[in-house]
Amino acid sequence: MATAPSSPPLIPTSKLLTQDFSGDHSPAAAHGCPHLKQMKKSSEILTNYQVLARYCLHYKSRHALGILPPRDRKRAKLEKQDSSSSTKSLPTPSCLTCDTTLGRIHACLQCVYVGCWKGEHVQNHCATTGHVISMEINRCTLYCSTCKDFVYDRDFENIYNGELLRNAEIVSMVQEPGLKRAHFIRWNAPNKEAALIRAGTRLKPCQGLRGLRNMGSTCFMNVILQCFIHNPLLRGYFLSDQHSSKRCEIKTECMGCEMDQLFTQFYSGVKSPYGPCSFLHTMWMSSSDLAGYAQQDAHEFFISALNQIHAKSPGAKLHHCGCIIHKTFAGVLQSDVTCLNCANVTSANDPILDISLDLRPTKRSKSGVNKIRGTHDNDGPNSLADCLDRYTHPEKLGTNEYNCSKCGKTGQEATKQLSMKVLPPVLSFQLKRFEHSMGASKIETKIKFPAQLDMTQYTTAARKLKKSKLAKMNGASENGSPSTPSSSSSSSSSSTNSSVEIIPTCVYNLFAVINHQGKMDTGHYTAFARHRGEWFSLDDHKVTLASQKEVLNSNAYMLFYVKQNLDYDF
Amino acid sequence: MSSLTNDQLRANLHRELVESGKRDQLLELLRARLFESGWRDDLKKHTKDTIYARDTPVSVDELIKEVSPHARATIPDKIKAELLTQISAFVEETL
Repeated sequence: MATAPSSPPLIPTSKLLTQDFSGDHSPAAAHGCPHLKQMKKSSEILTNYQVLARYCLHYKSRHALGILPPRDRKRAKLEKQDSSSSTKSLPTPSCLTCDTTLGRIHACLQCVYVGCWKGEHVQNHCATTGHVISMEINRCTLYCSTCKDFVYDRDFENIYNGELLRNAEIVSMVQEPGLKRAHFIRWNAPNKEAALIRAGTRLKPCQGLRGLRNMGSTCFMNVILQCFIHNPLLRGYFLSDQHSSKRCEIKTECMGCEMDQLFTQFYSGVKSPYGPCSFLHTMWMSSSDLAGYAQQDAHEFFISALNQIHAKSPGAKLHHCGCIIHKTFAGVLQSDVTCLNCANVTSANDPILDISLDLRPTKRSKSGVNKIRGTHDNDGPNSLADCLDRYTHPEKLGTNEYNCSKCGKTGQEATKQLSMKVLPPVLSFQLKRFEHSMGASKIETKIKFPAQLDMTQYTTAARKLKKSKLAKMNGASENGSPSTPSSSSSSSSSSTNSSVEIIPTCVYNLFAVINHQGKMDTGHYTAFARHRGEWFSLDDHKVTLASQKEVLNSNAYMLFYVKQNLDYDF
Repeated sequence: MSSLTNDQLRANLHRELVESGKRDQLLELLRARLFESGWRDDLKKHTKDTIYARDTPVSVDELIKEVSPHARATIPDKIKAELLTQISAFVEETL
């Protein structure tokens, strides 16, 4: 008779292991296998692992770091490259027996041997030498050849996480020199505090996920609230008690206190839907145009809520405000106007809290081929990338719009181009589906958006770099110098994007999506949000598990991305 | 310049594939495409079902063996074609 299937493995509380307050409750699997335990007694295996992990991570980032595998001498001579030791090089991990670079490479943790799996060379090595533990070079996971399986051990995980962090810091330093970065220091509670925490807290299940009751066409508010709840920076701020309604001096009609209350409710462990009455009431008091039971635009509510929370924050300022809203959402948009006559560039910086993207067909295609309007959406943007390309594309100004201060010509022809000077930690997009002007119709075009977004190419810094690179290349060809040696970025036949390396702090991950179904003024808002690595569908009081595929296939109205690597504020 | 055997040629190509970073690029492309098509989510579900159907714990290698045929079979042809084009382009360039 078959036994009942074992329960699914526990979801770890966080990838970066936090201090274990509730005692040793982890499943046996986190302690590796008996063979590993035996090996750990000799401390060398941990040091070896650290060295190997560091090497593997460095090798993975070799292009960003400018450390390339040693080229063979013949090719180096052809390319007149400086193959001397001034250019550091890192050997490619390959099997010592058959020299292959593919086929799952393992590195022995007990001696200097690297072998491949496919050719069974590493298995043979383990059999002949009796060495048992090896590390797979792609993910730095441990393999025990006696257990014939991958094993997981906390101490090794800690080492790996430390090396990951260190590598990320180095890559950022190389990619963005001059950008100050605080060294990450983990906080460990001293014994007294740890004891207090253990005694005074209880781990509750189902925290952070809760439905919201629709109190009469308030779905527009519910989706925005859900996006606030699942916003990592807002969550961190309010859960760490940085705006406590108990200590707040404003007390009544304070949006900060409302947010605090909201987080308290969502993390109370109560599963029944919550009715955000006081939040709604306070918003009505603060912005009269939102008052009333009519359906509102979620984006309008979003901006209004942000402004209200900012206004009520202690020490809120008009410029360079350090409130949680600005710290989270504020970016700077740079607008460069280039005079086509004298090439003089005037720049202006605008603070922004989000980016609104136009979805209408571009003017160029309208005047082009006869296309059946409405059925073919080939004219307009099809993806977030298209929208962003358009947003940052140089745009010609009307003949009477620009007067150049340098060359003094009035009504000069000029182009304007937008770029992101400062990227906010949380980047919010609104896809302008609603045209409140003539013939109010909703643009239903499906806009493709990624789970991970790289904003490097839209930044002012990257654009400057690209321009100077192009200028250099043009200058080089004019001087008749030999063909430029292949740069560290593998640009070959791929798109122009690859000419600028990805800056790690410009990479974002999607965490929330707002959808709208139905017609403009009627219709229903729903949201998707990512909670602990899983996606959930949030439809007022209904919270259900969803798949990332579902999320990415939905017709988004608003998108929320958070930086994968946070900058530090000095 | 001695003529290289097929095996040597293949090994050199593999090495160039890895060292130039092209392999990483192709892997990322493949990952993105497979993800978009929903292949990853379907396979994840299939793998979970496979694990729960067993009463004994399964090792990574056993799991790979069991799930691979299904995984390979369900890859959309469009993606295979795209990857092949990219790989042939790379081979053309490198040789």
